[in-house]
Amino acid sequence: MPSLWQGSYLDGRNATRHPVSIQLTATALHIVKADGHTIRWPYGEIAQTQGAYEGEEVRLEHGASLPQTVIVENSTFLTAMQRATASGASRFHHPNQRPLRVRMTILAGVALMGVTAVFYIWGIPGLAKLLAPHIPVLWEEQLGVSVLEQIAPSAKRCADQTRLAALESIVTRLSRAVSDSPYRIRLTVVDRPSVNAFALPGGQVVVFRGLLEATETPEQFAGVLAHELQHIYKRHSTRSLIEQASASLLIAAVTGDFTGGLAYGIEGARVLGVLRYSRLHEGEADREGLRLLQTVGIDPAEMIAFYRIMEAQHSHDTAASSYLSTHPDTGDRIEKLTALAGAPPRHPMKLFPHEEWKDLRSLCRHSVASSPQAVTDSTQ
Amino acid sequence: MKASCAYCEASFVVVAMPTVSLDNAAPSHAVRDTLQLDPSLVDQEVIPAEAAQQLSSTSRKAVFHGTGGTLFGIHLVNTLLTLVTLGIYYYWAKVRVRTFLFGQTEFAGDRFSYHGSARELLNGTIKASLVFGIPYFLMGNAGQFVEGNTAIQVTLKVAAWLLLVLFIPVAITGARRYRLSRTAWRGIRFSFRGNTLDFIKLWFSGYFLTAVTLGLYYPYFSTKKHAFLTAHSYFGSEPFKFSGDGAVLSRPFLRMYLLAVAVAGIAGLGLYSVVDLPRQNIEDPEAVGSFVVGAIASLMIGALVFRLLWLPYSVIEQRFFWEQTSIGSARFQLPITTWPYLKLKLGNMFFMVCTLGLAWSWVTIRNIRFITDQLELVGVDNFDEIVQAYDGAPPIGEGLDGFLDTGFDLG
Repeated sequence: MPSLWQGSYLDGRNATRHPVSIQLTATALHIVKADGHTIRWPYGEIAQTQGAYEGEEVRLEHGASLPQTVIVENSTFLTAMQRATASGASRFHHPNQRPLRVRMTILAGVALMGVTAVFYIWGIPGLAKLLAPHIPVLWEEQLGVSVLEQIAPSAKRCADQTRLAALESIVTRLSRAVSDSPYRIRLTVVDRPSVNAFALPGGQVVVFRGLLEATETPEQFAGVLAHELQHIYKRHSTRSLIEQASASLLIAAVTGDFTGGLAYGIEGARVLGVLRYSRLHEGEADREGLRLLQTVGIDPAEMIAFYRIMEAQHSHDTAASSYLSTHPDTGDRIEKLTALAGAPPRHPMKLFPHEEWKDLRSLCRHSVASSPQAVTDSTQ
Repeated sequence: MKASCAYCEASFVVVAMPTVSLDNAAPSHAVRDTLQLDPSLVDQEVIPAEAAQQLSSTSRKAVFHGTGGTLFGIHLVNTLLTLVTLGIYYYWAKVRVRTFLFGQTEFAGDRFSYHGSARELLNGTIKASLVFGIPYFLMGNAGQFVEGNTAIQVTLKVAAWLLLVLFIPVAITGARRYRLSRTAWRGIRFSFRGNTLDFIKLWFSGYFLTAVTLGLYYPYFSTKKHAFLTAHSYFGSEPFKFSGDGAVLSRPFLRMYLLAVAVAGIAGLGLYSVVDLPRQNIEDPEAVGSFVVGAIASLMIGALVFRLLWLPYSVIEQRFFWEQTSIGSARFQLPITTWPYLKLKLGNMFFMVCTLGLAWSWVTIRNIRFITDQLELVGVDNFDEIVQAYDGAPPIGEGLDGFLDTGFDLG
């Protein structure tokens, strides 16, 4: 190995590259310029800024804000520098450590997969659960009202006040069983044929005519309401917003910087994650909704019976599609709820006689709102 | 390579041919693409034969040495540490990536070096949060607490929006000021000396004129923006110069614009005939709905066409911007053409989609290589004479009074 190395010296004042000879001693680097002038850099004052990667020239800098620089193209210079000095050598990269660095990188990759999985499975839902209760109810209510205007315009709301009040009494009965809730529950029935219902942040429950008419008994309807109420009480909408933001951050962290069109690549991963969290929320709403029915004294079998009606309507869905759905597979939900329901209550509550329910569920056939106030409140 | 101008019949020499072509496209194709894209741009490349011979002898090229695998390794470690530290390591990670990318980029035989620090990036984020982020959040949400007073709510929303709009030009100049001051080549720092207030004026007037002309002013606006950012940038004591005029870009832009509008119009008419959208009685609410859907669908098709045509336009724009940039007596050349650029972008999108974004490192390297493989500085210039102008003071102001003209970076 040569004792004198050839390199270039930049003085930090102009862009001229000076050819120099470099001598390594035990304590310092000696840079000999063409005019014979020698500059001494003690190892402790040198920073290595390049040369850690194979094929990269070695770049050493000396000085604070505007450093002087020495560049040596021959990377074996690093090994020589390691040999020349006993102390302070650890501050410079050692080429022999490259295989170790590769192994450490592979290990980091494995650890990253583990950490990502932990964040994905537990971290993000846990964080959402932790943060959601600290979001002011007022914010949730305002968000819920603005979304309601979009998806249930006033002209489409069913406004038969008498029948609506009867449906409202079911909501009141259920919501009274949850004593510590800060929400004021509002029920809106929309004149649309879809068999669907959903909860909005802040206490809004929206039921479509199609679903109302698909229920055979008021207890089945109560089962649907119990499920939707649990979405509100468990703050699932707020948690979803936090989960979506966190999932985007996690994916951005794992995949690096991305902008514009490249973002489409990671959108699939984000959507899959969000769908999974949505299914977790549905599972929780099912379980807690069933418990709410039991607390009130309604037979949970009614809730399950309505899920069977839903299942019959979606019998064409494939098993694989459940991974791409916001809701778990209906068959699985029925199975889990049946196991959870246990023995039926001895004296189950009956909300309305069958004939009266047939009349109540035809609410939207009688009138659609002519005024914006086609919503009832239920104050706990 | 000798050739003649298809429009003016004058002979010239092509001096900006890529020596390394990603798709092995023949140089003659590159020239032909240039001619097809915009004849006015070819005029920019016409250089007398004798002068060209002299200039080509002093051509300086860029080379990128890094590999996607190495960047991926850095990225793995960075990501792990960022997750474990709940995001705090992000700024250190950013510095590691920049240090690697700069160190792997060589120009005229010398590599660049990055001198930024994580602490500075963190300071930049804190500073931007204090001046813009927190006021924006407060103004955006304060309306909820003055329920019933619509005037105040609207005022707060508008103020929040204005602050956000103001933030963009401030962030552009701030980031450029910081990054250039932390970039060195042959030990000499770059710098940006533009006045942020001037850039804000340029930004708002440009946006206003672009909106008023339904987008047609855009090529002039983008050229003015680029001219401002380039002409106020320095390498040591030597300023960069920009001599471009937006009128050159207006022709290809107008072509793209008109094509997108025509396609949107044809799509709209086609939709009416295919799905029998209403031609009369649009006062009927249901009919208005269909009419609006048809109009939105046409607009979306127009936007899609515009987006697709943007790729060849952006090739013209990038090439034009580089070729109008000079330093000393030397001028940059970037002879990129549409098809290789299209292949690059489509390939990148394919890799990202197939790997759910994990190909980021390789995509980054592909993008850098595409430029560095073809970028040249042609002409006589003596870099040895350039002296350091950076005084060593950090560009980040300690107080907020001089915020507009201090450099900051969000990482």
